[in-house]
Amino acid sequence: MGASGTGDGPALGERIAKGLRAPVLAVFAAVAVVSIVLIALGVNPLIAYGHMFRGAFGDAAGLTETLVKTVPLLLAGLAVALAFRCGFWNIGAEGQLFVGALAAVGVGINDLGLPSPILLPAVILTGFVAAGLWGAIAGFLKVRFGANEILVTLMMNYIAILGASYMINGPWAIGLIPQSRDIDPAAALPILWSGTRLHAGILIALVSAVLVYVLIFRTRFGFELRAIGHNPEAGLAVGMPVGRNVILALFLAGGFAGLAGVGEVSGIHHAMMESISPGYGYMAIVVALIGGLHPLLMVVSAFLFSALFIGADAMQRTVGLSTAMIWLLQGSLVLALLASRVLNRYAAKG
Amino acid sequence: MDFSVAENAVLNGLHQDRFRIGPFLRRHLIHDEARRLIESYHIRTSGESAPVRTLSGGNQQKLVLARETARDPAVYVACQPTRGLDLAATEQIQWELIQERDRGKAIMLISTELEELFVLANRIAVLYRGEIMGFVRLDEPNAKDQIARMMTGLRRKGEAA
Repeated sequence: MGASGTGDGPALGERIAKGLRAPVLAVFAAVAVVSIVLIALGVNPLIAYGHMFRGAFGDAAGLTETLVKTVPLLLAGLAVALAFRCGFWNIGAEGQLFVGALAAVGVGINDLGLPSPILLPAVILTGFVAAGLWGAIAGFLKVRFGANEILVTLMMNYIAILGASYMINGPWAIGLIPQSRDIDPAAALPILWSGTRLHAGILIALVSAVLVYVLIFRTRFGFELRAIGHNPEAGLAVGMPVGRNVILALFLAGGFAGLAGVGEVSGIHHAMMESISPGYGYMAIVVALIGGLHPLLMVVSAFLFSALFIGADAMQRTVGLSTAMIWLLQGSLVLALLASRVLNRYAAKG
Repeated sequence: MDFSVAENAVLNGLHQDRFRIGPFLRRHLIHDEARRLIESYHIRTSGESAPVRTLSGGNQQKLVLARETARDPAVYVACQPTRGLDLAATEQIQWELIQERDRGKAIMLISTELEELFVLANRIAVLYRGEIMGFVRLDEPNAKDQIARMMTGLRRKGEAA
């Protein structure tokens, strides 16, 4: 183990290799399981995977769609990872995303009459802060009352999602259409590649990943978060403000999930609707775990996960397979990943 | 335990400005500090970047002591500081504690090892079923007899019940 002067832990290459071992094994295992099902259905898995690959990367449309879906997966994944790092199981990225989207629409339809140049920044900021406060509630309930964060964040998802449903069926509905008015064009994120849906949200997501990386690994706050995640008693023993840190971490986590919602509103749909998220906040958990809770590796895992879904859509169109296959793949992936973590732990001990 | 030696070495010291620029960590200074502690406490490790998990129990304990001593506290509470350690590590930990005492620090040592207490302590309080039976200075005559009596639950003569 080289004692490099700058890195914490072994050399970067070695760390990445070690970090990727479990996910890579898990992907192989999951692909094997899905292949068996495909064969049982009388489909050649290689052909199916070929269609998937071409669908996700084969042309500009596929590639940009993959990038478009990477945005919410990465941002919500950061929300999961940031909370997991301090030992907080944030299952609430989905709800935080919805709150961010609601705030983005609330400001973006611009009943307040904000001037155009500051409208988009205002949308982004309120989306972050509103979802951050939403996340901080769960943090507060855990810190103050010891409430189980998994239950709290999960239940708060329903509140946020049904709250959004209320808004688009009630106050914001356009007649009988369960959808809000379109946001002011000045509140939209610019399209980066005309003719595609690729919007500036991808830049926000990438910058956020770098920011979260710096926060977790290069600041005192991040150091304390990791220490608390590993051993909360030790954190308390050396005088860290454990409760305050957890609540602040959940504020930031919620904020990044909120940006995912902002991205979907300002970048894609330009309005609030039921289908604003097909469960990005839950997939984000897998993205975060496969990325080893490392913000920069998660850029890769979010991109690959997005490719899986875009590819599955293509597979559905060309081979006629249900996209349920991709849920099967996702489920197998999570199970295999958790199993390989356990195996890794044994290997480390033995 | 997954933290590196360096990260552990400054676990209690990040309030110090020398390890930070604003909120950002100065990692080279943190590593310098870790190397200093590794050297002066003879901690056996492959380097300051190694995870603490890879250290032996004795070296982990040395690191904890090094870390706490670096903060220069006036009072130590050491609970079974040498439990499960090998002889060399035990002796070193004990020697370091004596050093701290000689620097005028107050040390409360909690231990089930009589040998260790007799080596290290100046004054011993005997607990029996959660109650202090009395205090003994080790330089008193019959100190060990007194302690033996109190360990059976008899209070020290002349002390209030």
